[in-house]
Amino acid sequence: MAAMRNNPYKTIGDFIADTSFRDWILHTDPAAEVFWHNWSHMNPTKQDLMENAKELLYILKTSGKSISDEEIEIEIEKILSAIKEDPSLADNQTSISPNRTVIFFKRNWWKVAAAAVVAVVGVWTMNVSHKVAAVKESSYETFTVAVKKTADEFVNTTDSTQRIKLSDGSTVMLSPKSKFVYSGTTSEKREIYLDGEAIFDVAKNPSRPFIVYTNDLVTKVLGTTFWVKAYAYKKFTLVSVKTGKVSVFKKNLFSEKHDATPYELGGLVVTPNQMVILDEEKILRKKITDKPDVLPAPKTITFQFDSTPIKQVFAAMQEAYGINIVFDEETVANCSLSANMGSETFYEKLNLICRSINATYEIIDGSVVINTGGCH
Amino acid sequence: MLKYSNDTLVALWNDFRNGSSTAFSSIIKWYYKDLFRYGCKFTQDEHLVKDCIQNVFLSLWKNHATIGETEHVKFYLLTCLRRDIAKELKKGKTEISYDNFSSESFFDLGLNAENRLVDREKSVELAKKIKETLKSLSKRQQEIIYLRFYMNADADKIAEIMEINHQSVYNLLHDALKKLKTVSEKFIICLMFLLTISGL
Repeated sequence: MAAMRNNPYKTIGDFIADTSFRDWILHTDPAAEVFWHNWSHMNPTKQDLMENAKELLYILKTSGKSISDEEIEIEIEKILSAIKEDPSLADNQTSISPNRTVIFFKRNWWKVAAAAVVAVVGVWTMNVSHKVAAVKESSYETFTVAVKKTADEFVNTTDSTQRIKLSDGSTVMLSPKSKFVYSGTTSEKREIYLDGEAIFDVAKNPSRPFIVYTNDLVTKVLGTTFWVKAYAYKKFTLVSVKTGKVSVFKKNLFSEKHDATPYELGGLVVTPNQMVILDEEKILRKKITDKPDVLPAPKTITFQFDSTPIKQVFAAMQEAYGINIVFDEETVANCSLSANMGSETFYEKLNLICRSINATYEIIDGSVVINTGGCH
Repeated sequence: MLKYSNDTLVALWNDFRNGSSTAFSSIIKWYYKDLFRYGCKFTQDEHLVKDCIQNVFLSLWKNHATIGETEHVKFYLLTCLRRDIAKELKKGKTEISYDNFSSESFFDLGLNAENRLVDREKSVELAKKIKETLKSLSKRQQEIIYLRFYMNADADKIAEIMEINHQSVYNLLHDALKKLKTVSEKFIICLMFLLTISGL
């Protein structure tokens, strides 16, 4: 998060000068929105000031020309095919032809997108959800057809979450109006294509990676509990991790190369109490979950501090929640905390700690970054 | 935007430089909206903007092997696009012709029903004033404020994108702020604060 370091937010200008604050209002950035909602809860005295700043920014929000995701897809197709057709541009044939599956998905997408553009001119916003649904359906269908002979399909038509036990020992809590296809019963790979929302409790089996596909994200697991929300009719895709570790990729960047690290594929490693959101503009962002839980730990961690050096306090927080806390050891060397905490939420604790040592924090890429001038 | 997943972006950029077309298409996707919005400030012709964006990316692909690392992909792309549009609008000249500006203003401020917050009389009045005053600024001044405010570019980047020197950025801005001072003390304090930080 690009919040300014050590910003006391004392004037409207302090807010407006903040890049992430502007991103929230001017560019409707969902990650910034979450951050500022949390922030305003924790700083109730600043709410009036923040509302004024918001109002001023709303005035400055331009309505300028916009372009839809579908039109952008079409433009990208044009650019990529121009590259393919011009031999002087294609200096490396192998690198510009994606593998078969990708082409198949792309063609499909292209057709649906083109049809949608013709159909919805004029009533754009009204039709967005249907259009997206149609596109996503086609990916789900494609996968279903591809694995048909060997896969099982599960559809939850009831009004309550269904618990499904897979043949490999994993369990899936499938939300209403959600469905998935599982190819792991007969195939060497454990692959799932999900449309909707589900919590996966994956049985450990390092030799058979568990991979969950949604329309635009790929989540790869070795053994963990995590939650995926990718309704066909919604624009956001969300992966949230409870225990273990998963890596998340945009589908177009995912390859099955086993030696490739998530980093090389442009993926993100997600650890407990973190989540990843693929937003409307198809940008992948890592955040901390709204309500981080204390992790099940071998020894219980107490939050009772008596003139405890702040370094140890942060260490306790980090161990309990598994959330990385970044701070400058030298600056906080003289800071300590006396407090008894227990059932407070993660953010309440963090806020209390920061207030007592006169610090602020930012959430950057799923980590907490502490800003402070130190203690006398 | 860069700040959020800079590592993802750097990885994409390096993949692209190594010839990955999937990384390349992700980069296009990532920046297309920003480029399109900026391009439309110079001409009414959306097709021309799309063509210019295409040109920018085609030449980027053509030169991918020789392109260096950068942490400022967005500003690099904005600079290329601005140059390309200028070329198209006034053949041969690389300087943008402000005569061809599409809208009367860089700021199509959305003072419509969509902004539910701005329904109080006072706000509406202030909004109108701001809109008028911004419109009365020169196009160069408007562009500077636009790049700073909406694209988060600092003075260095603004000078680079607009192909003018530092001093001009400062001078133009100074004059603009003087003019804006007449609108509202509250508003100008905010704007000045914004424009004076991060190297401006």
